[in-house]
Amino acid sequence: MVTRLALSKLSPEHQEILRLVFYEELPYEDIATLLEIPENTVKTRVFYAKQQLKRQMDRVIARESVL
Amino acid sequence: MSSQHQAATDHPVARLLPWYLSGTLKESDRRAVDQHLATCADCRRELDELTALRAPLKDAFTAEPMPSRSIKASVMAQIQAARAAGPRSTGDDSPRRVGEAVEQWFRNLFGPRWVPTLAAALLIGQLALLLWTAGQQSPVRSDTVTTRGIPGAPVRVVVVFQESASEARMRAVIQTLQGRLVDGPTTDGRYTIEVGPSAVGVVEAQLQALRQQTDVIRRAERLAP
Repeated sequence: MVTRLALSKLSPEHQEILRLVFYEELPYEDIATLLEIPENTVKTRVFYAKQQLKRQMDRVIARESVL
Repeated sequence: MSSQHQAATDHPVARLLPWYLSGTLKESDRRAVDQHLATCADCRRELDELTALRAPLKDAFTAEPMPSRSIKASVMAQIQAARAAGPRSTGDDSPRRVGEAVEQWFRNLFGPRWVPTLAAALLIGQLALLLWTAGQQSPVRSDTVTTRGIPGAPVRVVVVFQESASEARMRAVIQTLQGRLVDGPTTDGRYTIEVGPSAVGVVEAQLQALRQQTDVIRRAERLAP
């Protein structure tokens, strides 16, 4: 539940890249081809998307702990 | 600077950790990550965080079964590209394709526009020939009976005149029959008249006409051969 809430706070671009990596489990080369972006851009985008997700999850957990 | 950010900036190999976790890295990349993890605690912590996120992320995306927008867009683009390229031969010689080829060959026979026109022209020509052939035959007139074949033997008729019939009327009857008196009068008033070779129907028609003259003719019959 926390993860779903946090995911919903991310940009569509970050949600998309996380889906391709963790749900579709596509190699980064395939993702680069699919999105028509460089492979390094794929790696960087995944890194920052994961970072944002972690941040949002911490916020959700913090709010729930207050309630 | 957080350890995560430091791991990403100082250790480029750290950016391969998501794929290292899913097992989709190339062999060379996997070996590089293995070697780095052996000596880098920050990257090992990063890998632990990714491992903890893996199952919840899968569950979150499973709850939303819609395909990835980019995957859907890519598939649609490939479909449209295939349609634009047109049908391609796959080299499959299955019986179904052979049957389709034969069917197409027959279709090609009737494909040219001139084929139906030619067929119609042939039918019309045959009909015209049939009508012309039928018209070349002599029409049969219903008011005359023509004789065919070898002329037959003279026909004889027997006529019994009325007692009041004049000689002139009797000669007129014989002339009507275009015959000649060959016998008579007998004791019972019968005259035998021989007419030329004629069809039975002609003689009967003449006799029927004579029988109408009741003031002259009492009886008129064809004499059996």
